[in-house]
Amino acid sequence: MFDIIIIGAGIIGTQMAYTLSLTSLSVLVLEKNAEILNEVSSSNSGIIHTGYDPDEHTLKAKLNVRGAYLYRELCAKLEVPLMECGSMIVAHNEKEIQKLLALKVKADRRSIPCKMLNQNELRLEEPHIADSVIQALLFPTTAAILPWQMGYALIDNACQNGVQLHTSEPVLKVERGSCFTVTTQKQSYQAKMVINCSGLNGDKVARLEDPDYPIHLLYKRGEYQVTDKSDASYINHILFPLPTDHGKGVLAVKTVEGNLLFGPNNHLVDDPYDGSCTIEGLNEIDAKIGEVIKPLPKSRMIRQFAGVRPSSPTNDFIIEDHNHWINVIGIDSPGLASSPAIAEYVYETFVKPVFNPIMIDREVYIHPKPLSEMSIDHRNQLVKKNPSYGQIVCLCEDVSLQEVIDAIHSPAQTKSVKGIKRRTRPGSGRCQGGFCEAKIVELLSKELNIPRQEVLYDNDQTQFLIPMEDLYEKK
Amino acid sequence: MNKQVICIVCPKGCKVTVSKQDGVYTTTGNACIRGNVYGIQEATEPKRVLTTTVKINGASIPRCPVVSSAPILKDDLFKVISLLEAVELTAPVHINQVICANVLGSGIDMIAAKTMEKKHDL
Amino acid sequence: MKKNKIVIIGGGSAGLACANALRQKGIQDILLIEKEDELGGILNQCIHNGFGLHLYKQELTGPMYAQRNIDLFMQLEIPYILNATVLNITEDKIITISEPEGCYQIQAEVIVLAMGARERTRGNIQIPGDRCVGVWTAGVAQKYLNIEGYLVGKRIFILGSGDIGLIMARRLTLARAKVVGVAEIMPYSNGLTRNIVQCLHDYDIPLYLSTTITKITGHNRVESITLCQVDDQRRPMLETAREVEVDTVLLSVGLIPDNVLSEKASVEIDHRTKGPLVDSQLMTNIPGVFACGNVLHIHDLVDHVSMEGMLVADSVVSYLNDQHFVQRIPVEAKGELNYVLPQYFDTNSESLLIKYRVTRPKSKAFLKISSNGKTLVKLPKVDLHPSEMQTFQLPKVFLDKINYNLVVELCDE
Repeated sequence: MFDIIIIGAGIIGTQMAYTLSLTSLSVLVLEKNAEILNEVSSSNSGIIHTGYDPDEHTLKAKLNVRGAYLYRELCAKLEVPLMECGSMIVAHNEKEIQKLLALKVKADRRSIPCKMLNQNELRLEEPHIADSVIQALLFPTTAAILPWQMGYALIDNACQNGVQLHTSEPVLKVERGSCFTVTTQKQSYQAKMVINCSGLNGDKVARLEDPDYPIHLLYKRGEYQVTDKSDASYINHILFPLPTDHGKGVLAVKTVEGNLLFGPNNHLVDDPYDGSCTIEGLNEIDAKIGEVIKPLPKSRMIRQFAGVRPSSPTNDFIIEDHNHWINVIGIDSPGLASSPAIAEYVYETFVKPVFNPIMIDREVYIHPKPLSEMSIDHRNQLVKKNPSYGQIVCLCEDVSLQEVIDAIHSPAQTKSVKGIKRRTRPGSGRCQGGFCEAKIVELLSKELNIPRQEVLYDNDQTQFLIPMEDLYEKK
Repeated sequence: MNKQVICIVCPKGCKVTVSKQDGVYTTTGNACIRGNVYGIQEATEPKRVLTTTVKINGASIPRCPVVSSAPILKDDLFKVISLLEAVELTAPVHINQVICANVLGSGIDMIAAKTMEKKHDL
Repeated sequence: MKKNKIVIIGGGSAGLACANALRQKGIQDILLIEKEDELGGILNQCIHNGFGLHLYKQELTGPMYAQRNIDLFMQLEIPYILNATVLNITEDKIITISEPEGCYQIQAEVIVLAMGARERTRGNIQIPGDRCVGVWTAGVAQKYLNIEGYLVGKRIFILGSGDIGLIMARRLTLARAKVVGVAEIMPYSNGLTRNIVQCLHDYDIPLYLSTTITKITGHNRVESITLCQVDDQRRPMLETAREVEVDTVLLSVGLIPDNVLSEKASVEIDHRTKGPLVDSQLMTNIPGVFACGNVLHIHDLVDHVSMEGMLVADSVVSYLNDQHFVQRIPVEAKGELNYVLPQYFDTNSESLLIKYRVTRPKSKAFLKISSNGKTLVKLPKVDLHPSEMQTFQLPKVFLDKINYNLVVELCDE
């Protein structure tokens, strides 16, 4: 019997798990995929918005502002890089300037620092901003993170603090008796409380508990272009067009690691797992990004991807208690920025009154710092202790063999090529895995003690190697 | 008999027609004499050098590249592949070492294309 | 800081040829750095034959060609380190190395860039569709198959008719996978005729010209692709779209010289070749930094790579003998030429080997070489193809006549 089962190990589930791991509660996290943080949490813009945009009196407004504040603490504590680059919203004409001013009023009311910039000022800050831009509203406290870096830090700490994480276990059935019985294809688990953080499946999982649950999520797909990190200095801030009813628009983000992201567009799709890119969509991004920056040639792009976000029809987060079944669903933008505040809110509002748990002072698990950020002397010291720190497996991103091994054996374990890519970057660079993928597969096979044909790319059923002998004529 | 072959001797890629009359082969469409020789060979008895890998144990990698010592009849390629699927080598293997002698009685050997030392594990 | 006279980065064909030639010219202080655990570079996975026809007058397989160079290298007892990655090069020729023995810097007097190339990826050519597993570059699939002994799929489609793609079509077929077809966006193949015949025709693998993949579909794994013919502007004609069931897509859509390190050392890069801008000695804009092989420009024959390595060895010896090259005269490409190498001519050079590629197939054309408005050479050329690099050794008598500029032009008359 667990005190609490969390369904879903995305950014909300991992925040929840970490928050609960600082208490005396016993917690199980059930994740349907083999790889955690593999859906909404790994395909978004990675922005810690300040909270100027959401409508007054919404959970989004409240939790975004609070979340942005909590990120500073959390990133400092877990040593997760937070890039405090600031953002600008750009205006092209008088009408848009009026809208900027209205946003400024809203931001001032929420005590969010911001400042209007004229032509000269904004071009000094952003030499590659689009020629048509005439004014901009600067938000110096907007920041960026890599969502999965935060998620891995949270789940690794949670696991070290005793939270159990079971991957590849989709929840099939929920029964309510004196407690909840949650059944996956592997096993049944009992818990006094369930927190549904299942992202794209949020409404479906809610209906496992209450077949008449009325809310149907909307799925909004956003496509992105990614540049090589050699373009890192092209922009200095996150650059937005004016937000509309359809979202925050096609923006330019510099990621923590220096790649630029252009996107997302925003289209409703029927299938929550339709993460495909389209010719029209990529053309749309190419066209729209030109309203914000002077476009880069297509040849600079190293990757395209799309993310689907679960949106609630109410246009606000849905966080509600059905007699110890807590739904945390419809978490679209600014979900990432709000996530620590969402976990705090759920804990304070629903968990604490029921369990009144003891807070426990836990030792913090800090991810090893990448060698690529160390001095030569520091690296050399590590290599002298363990030669595998000297052997580089990924040239593009400068990642050593031992860093990959360390990632595989982190508290929450890494089992797939994509997991390694997110944790330590091999495959994220300009060769996109060309030089290193085979080595990563070899290491996963060796460290997890499985044959190479069983190594997963990301999800279950994504094994991809076939031994030549299997196709021999005589077999 | 009339047969069309694309000459591969030079980048030009002539479309050569090979004809047989009274037991004598003639070619048309070839720009040079090399196209004549190639065309007749290709039309009558096409041959290919076969390269593939065979399983090897005890080396640092699990496959040893092999090559036929001379071109093999095109129609026999998969038969030789089948033969090689039954072969398992043990390191060390030296370059040019015969892996499979006189395949299909052709007088042609499959030979190792790489020296593969025995792996010294720690 | 440790010092080395000559540091060669990369132990593939270019690096080995350069090292061997330098040692044969009596240079003692050489260090070759290789990132993998064996020498030979990409040839180790190119198990097919056809290498060495120009240099050795016989057809060798890739590993055999490599072994010849490695055997000579070992015999010459040239110092080298394996499993060693160069992390950085500075303009002052300080090289940062990470290897299992340590992470350290060395000061070089001469650096030879011989890092080879990387493959263009899906992201570079932007194929829309799902992000499922099952899309690889041909070279990655080749490594899995020929080195590790694993196939990446059973029903495979190949995009791009470059030689690596064609070779892989045959290789996968012999490994008993089904190669459903090869698509090429251009109206002509980018591979050698010999490979079209022996890799595709031999196994009845269709080649679709003026065709591309407009969508990749699949949930976890590739399930199908959408093929579309393109118009003469290479735009897909959507009415021709058809779906083909496959589990794997291999990309053979070109190589890009791998110049990340070169750029760190402020080496200037040619936007056409994607390699360093070099003079007739194959020296970059940084004195003492030379480039050869695929890092300089993409080759179709390894023999030419080796020869380029040897040419750099000559240049390095001249450089060390304090022959300073005073005047650099720009070499310009004109007409239907994709690029010309070198991009500069040194007035002190004793020879000039011009390399060029055409932009489209030409059955007849003239190569015109002129300087300062005066034609030096005009010679007829036949059967030129973008996939085949052409070379022309400018006769010595013309070297003195070069001044102001040198224009290499492909013209119809």
